[in-house]
Amino acid sequence: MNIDAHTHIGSGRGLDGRKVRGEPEYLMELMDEAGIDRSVALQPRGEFMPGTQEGWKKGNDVNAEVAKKYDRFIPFACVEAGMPGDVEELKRAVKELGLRGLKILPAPWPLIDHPKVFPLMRTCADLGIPVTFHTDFNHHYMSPFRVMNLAERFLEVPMIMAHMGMDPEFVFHFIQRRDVMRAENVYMECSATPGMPYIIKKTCEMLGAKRVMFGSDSPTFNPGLAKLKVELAGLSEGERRLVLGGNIARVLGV
Amino acid sequence: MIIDAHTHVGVRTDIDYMDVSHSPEDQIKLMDECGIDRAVIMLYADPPGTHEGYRRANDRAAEIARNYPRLTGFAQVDPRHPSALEELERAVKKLGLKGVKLYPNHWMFADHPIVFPVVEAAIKLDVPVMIHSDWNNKFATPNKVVRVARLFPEATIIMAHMGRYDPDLIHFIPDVAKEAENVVLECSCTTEHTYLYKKICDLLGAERLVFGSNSPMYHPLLVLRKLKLAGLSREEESLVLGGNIARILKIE
Repeated sequence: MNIDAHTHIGSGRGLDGRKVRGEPEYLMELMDEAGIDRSVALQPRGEFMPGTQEGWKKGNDVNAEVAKKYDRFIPFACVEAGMPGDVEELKRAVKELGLRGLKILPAPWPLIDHPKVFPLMRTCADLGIPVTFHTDFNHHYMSPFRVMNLAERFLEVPMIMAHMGMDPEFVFHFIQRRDVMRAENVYMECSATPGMPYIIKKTCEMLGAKRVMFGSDSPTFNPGLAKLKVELAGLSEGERRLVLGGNIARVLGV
Repeated sequence: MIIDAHTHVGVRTDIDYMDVSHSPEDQIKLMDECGIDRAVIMLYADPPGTHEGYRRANDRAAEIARNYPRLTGFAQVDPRHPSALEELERAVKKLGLKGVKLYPNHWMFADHPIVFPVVEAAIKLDVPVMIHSDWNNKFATPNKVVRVARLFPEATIIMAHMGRYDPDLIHFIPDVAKEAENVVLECSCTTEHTYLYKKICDLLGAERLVFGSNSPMYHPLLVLRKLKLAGLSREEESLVLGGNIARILKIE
């Protein structure tokens, strides 16, 4: 089963103000074209409003509704880590709404490995859910190195680094570090990385194919294109199956 | 005709995370697999970034271009070297290379005055200047590349990678590039945004965008598929995929 570990439902605006389509039906069309069975739905665009607990709730409610209607979506909750009410809303989203994981957005503060974030991570451990981090080497609040500090402290929480930190030159450095190789709860998810299939092959080599996940960041990025990158990486059939869905399925127990 | 405006041939010796060894035969095979008719090649220099390395790379690029008419060689020079201009003239006039590639380097900003004579020489020799760009390299930001173009409006400046991978900063490229009409954007090493290429054609004109892959490290099929999904008109697509670079390089 092919699972896309990174999508967003919801229509909204891109960075340049452009309207972006995001109805669940449209995402499913893209999935069908790309041969993808299921998708992890992270915070819904235009529905999840950062800044207030009410804004988080709205996004989480929408994700729960969409997933109830279309079981091809695996819904994640979203809160701003370290902000007041984060633990409470995550518990509500998982226990009452049945969301399956947590996505963390870059907030203006605190830094992602700040002690204020620890209670949220402890909650993830208690609830037994994985956390997807938006990671970007060009954003010091969300640097993969800061996520590593959390990963070493909360070994029982699977931590998914969305975008692998983005810049391939940094990724190649990152995956050769011993601390990263040792951190078996850390997964690299390859959405929004450049057209370099080798980055996936090399990450599988350094960390093991069990720790690499396919993701597209659809509909901003075309999932067929993202999947083609995995197909061109020269993986063995076993590796390919793990990357294209086996790993996220195992982590989520689906 | 599909022309890949940015490829490399040879053995890359300056990185430890990837074995890059790509012969001319490998390049032709890759082009056949991807349906690419012609390609601009640059040879990996050894030692990298040096005058001697570039001299040998230029010789080899010319030799390959003679043996494989589908491949067009670009020269590379080190603007810091006292013989850089002589080498560029030799590469273009004697060896028949069709353009020059510059890598902004440590302390050598893309718009450092040390590169100006090379750009002036390229204008005289009537060849385009391709400049490596990368938002994550302070010496090579797209703004620096555009500044060179503004200082030398007669030069054709090809901005390789259009700032490279960053999926957020790439949105500023149309604004940055509109400051200089003689900047042509080459789209290798960018992320999977698709509509952005249509937007560039709408805002800047399809004459300003060229297909490039930076193979063998990056895969041309991903770039071709991306441009296919961008929703370009047939005319725009034909310019971007080959028409523009053919015009710049005077390829029939």
